[in-house]
Amino acid sequence: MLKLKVTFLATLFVFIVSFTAIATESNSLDLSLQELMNVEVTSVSKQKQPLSNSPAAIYVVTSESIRRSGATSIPQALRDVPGLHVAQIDSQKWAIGSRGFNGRYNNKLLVLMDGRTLYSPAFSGVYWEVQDTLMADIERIEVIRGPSAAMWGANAVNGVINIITKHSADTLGGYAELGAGDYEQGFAGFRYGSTMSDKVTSRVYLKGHERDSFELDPNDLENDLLAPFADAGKDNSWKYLQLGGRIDIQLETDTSLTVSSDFYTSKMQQAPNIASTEAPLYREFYTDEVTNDGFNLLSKYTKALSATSEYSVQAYYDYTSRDEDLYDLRSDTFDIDFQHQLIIGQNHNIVWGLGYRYIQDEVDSRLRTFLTSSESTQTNTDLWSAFISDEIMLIKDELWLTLASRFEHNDYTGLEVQPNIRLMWQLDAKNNVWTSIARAIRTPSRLEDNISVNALNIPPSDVSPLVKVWVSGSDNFESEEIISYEVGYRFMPVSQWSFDTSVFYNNYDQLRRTSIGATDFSTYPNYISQYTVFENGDDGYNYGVELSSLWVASDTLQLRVNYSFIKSEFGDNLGQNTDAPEHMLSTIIDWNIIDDIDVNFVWRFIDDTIVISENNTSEKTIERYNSVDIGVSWDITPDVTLSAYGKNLLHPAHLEYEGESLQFPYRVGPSYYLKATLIF
Amino acid sequence: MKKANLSRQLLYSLLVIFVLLPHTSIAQDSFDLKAAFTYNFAKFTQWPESRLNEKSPWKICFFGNQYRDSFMELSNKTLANKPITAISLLETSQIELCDVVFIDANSRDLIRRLFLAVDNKPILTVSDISGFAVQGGMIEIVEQDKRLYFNINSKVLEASGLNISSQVLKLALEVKQ
Repeated sequence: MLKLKVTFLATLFVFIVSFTAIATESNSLDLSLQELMNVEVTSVSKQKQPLSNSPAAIYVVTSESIRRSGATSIPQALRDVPGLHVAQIDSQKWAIGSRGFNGRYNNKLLVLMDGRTLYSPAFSGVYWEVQDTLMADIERIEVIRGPSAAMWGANAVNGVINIITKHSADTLGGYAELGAGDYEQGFAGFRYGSTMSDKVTSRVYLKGHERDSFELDPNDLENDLLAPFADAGKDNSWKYLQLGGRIDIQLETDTSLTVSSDFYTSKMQQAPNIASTEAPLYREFYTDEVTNDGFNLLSKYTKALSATSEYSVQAYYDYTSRDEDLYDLRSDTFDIDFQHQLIIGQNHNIVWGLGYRYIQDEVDSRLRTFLTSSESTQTNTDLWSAFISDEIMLIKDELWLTLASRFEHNDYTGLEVQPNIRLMWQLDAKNNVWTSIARAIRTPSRLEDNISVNALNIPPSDVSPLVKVWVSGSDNFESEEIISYEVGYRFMPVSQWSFDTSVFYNNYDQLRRTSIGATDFSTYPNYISQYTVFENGDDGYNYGVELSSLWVASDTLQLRVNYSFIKSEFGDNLGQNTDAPEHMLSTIIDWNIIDDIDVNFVWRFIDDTIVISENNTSEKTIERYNSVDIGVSWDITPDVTLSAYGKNLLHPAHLEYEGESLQFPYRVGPSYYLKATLIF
Repeated sequence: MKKANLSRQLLYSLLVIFVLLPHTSIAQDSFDLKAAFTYNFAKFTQWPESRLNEKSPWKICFFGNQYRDSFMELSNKTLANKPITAISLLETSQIELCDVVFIDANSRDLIRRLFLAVDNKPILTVSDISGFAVQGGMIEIVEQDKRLYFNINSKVLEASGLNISSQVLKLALEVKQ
């Protein structure tokens, strides 16, 4: 009886209080300024997902969601974006792909930070382990799936990841964070932002971390690797330090200048293996310390010419150096871009631009027997580009047509044209449909043009001596091509619930594979060299659906579901990884339990992944897995927060990815860390 | 035994309350609040005679999809006996037709063009972009310790021929002369 009464009273209480809450909400326009200044701002509202108006498959990772998830690196912040396959290979190495073609050396995704291209020209992929900044200084990460080459240039084949850091006016004052755990053995970050005058703000930051090794499980290895496994080093820990800063200057009310710079240095342990001439394995295992340093300096000048016209000039210099036993990479990139946006009449929104990029890269190997180049170790390349895009409003505030194309000239394949046509129909305030057809290309990298790698050795037999198998680049290697068809639909029935979906069909042509080339007998009878050469021999297609939905259930609770389905048809292709996990699902709950305690809960499922195995000659299935992340944070005062995070919980350690890297496969297991942040 | 059940019941009830409830019942969505601030600023602005004599409704323009619901509520309100029309903007091309413009922090990249568009015109500009008031905007909404405050640039207001009530000036955190 008493029980009933309590339940009844509690329910009644809930009703009354929620009723008052609703009642005040609808009245905010009747409040005076003084009253408004006394109202507390809810925390969930800050995270309302800005539902995009753009005719593309865009997902935005907000600074708020990064903070709540406790992501300590950019790859972690990207983990649950629909359509992205984010997989950790070992403690330092990541494979991130959009709509397939993932891998350590994924070359079909363009990644930018504040307008600076982050890929390495040697293989046109991203070394994620050295792309970092203070996570608290990230404004948002825009992820565009599908080709966006007409706007962003070659290699924006399957997507673009655009990391945008905060304006320095938004990072004033001090911020410090300190944390430690099992995998995250220790990390610290510090930033100080100041107002130098009414028109000048700046910040400086410093961050560093030490991360532990991932574990190696013999069950993940192919039989021929079991013996060397026992003696091989397994250390894959790393240390990282980065510092940088940014200044924003408003020169006139219509003119601004931004200058930013970063410097990083890191030391990573790894246990690679390469082909050798020694029996019985003809493969040598060793341990290695990779040293990575980089520096960049970027400046961007923007001037508005009128209410409807603005241009910007951006220039940057980027230096990166990577030393490991297999190879040394060094590159200097200088890039300058001009961009002009203007609105003509009521119906034309035009953006056009010109760009030039100069890259000097040096690829060398201390192990001459592993890597050689037909060109000098140091090469220079030029990239010229021009683009134009016109967004035409066909029916006022209802129907838009975008025609765009980019024209690029690169030293490997000459002129490349990448056109795109998009249409967007805003049915009403709640429904939005868009469609796109685009052609994009992936230009060759140095690796595919003039470098040879001794991938494996075939042991001598009764009829043949040892055969060294080389994978070689070729002058004839052309760009890989995609033609992509997309349709998207966005639906927001009420402001608390939104739904975004896209369907795509991608047709790939001229894909990379290898064919048997020349055999060199000059070293017979010691060994012979068999060359396999890169060529554009494969094609295929994939199609799929992505959807994301956000439900703001109450002022204190929100739920997000992201799902993607993809189906690939590329035949028995061993030229590169093509397939993505068929199903990927993430459910994210943000719950403000009481006043100062927030909980972030993520459950994700990643389906089986088919990858090229470590011996480069066969395929391997990485088993599907589930994992759970839980984070709890407590605002002790408005300026001091304590938080605890558990990652990859409730499920045993598992492989997320492997292959292409001449490395052992490592398992990702549960980990935890504690963090304290201070604002001053 | 019964006691344990009861406390569990209580716990569940409490959980339900926490889920359904904002921590303090007066906590509110910052989007609604910023729209309400903007409406109040417009109310306490002395508009030029010429504008008051015009019959057309007040045009309160805003950027950002996230603010749509909050600003559309304004269409039920009046200002100096004239109705209000809330207009969602994506670009800077129509700013000159507005009486009030609210531009949110996600649209920071548009402020250079905004300043050119409203230059010395009687258009009230409100924003939550940090530094907005000192850089050439009129009113900047700032968030401190979960509450909203504002800064005013009275120099820009005067140059545009607008005046804001001294009551509002008194409430401002900072007034730039």
